[in-house]
Amino acid sequence: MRDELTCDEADDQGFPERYAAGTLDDAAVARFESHFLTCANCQQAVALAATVRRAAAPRRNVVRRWLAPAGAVLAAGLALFAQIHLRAGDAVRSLGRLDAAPAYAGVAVRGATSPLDSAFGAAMGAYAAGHYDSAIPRLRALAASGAAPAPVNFFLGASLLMTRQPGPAAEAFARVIAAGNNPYVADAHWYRALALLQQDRPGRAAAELRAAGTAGPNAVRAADLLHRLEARRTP
Amino acid sequence: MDPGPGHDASPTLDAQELLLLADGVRLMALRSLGDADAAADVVQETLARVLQAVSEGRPRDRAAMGAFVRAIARHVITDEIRNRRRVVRLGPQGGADHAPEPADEHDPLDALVRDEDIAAMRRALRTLSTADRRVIHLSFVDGLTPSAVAERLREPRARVRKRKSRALERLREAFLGGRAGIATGGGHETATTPTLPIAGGMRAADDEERFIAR
Repeated sequence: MRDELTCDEADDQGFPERYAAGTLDDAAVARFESHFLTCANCQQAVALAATVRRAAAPRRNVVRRWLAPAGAVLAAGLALFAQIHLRAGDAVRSLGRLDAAPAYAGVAVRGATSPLDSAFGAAMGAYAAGHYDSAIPRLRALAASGAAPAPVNFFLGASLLMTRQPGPAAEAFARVIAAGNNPYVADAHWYRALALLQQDRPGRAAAELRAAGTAGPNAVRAADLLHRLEARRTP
Repeated sequence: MDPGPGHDASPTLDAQELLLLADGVRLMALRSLGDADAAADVVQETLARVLQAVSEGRPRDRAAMGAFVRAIARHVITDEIRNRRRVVRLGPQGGADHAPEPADEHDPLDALVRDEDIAAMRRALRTLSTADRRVIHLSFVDGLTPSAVAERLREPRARVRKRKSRALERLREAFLGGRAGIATGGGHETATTPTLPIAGGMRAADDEERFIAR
């Protein structure tokens, strides 16, 4: 027998806030999760509950946790700062710095839209607004569905890069490249090179920069970066 | 609907439903793992398994989709937890030094919460009466049941429910106001203009090219 939960019942029993607080018993968790997986209202109620919880909770021992050891941390931090910035790896990583996300411009398509078009539109709405954390799970869901791997993985990679996740970003760009001949390949090589540099992998990054080709919007930047990388290798 | 390349036709799960499930699985994974990256991996793996199952005609009862997806997600989360334990055991310092932070130092759903939302919420909380704020604290911070809140406050449950409902409405306005136009957990916008994605600086490859149906 299925014991289905309704939104009213969940609300009446305080399920969203108790779920966020971790005070629901296992049976109630199972019922609530089974319900909210297909209920946008209850998912939003949990997000609201998590936010209220954070806002209403006492500050988390900030003074005890941070101010007391502040002197030691500051001293250690200054020493580390000097040391770290002398390290070659960080110099390489700095070459892979990305200041702005690849631009996204929507172009109207002809004919009827599919639900996946709309889903992509929603994800890219978040991307275009700079809400990369919101775009990532949506693009990941689309990537998991196998839909249009080149654009989905390209903007997934870009979002990951913007949220300082160079490893997964490099993998996403690799999927764009693996998808074969598509309009995103040259840019994917360029941004994958940046992701690899951020991981201190200059050898692989140089290969990607060469693959970025001599044409395209990033060709000049790729050639310049490749030159700087090679100059680093030759004292 | 043309599902596009790479997967079979599965008329029982459209993209909006898929995104709703993705958000739900993310909530589950965040709450269990407290790690946004791990949660994203769980979402991806779970959806891949769900799509495979759907293409095979499961679950037969459409109304059971939530419970079906939950069962898959729980398996994936459990696997993730097991993998983490393995990594800890293999660590050079042994398990004890690599134990995760105590639960009270880190709320697993923190990844859902944006700093600007907290600021807006604190402002909204300050507008509540002391009694209403007390109800919110007992319900959301302490996680008490509505009955337990009423008992603690020595007020009838109906009155406490009314207080909570009134206070929550104000907090919800602050929450949604701060997120207007932004994709939130569970709130999916539908693009009004279908679009083709164009990478940085590139021209449209082909205006006739559809995003999915290629």
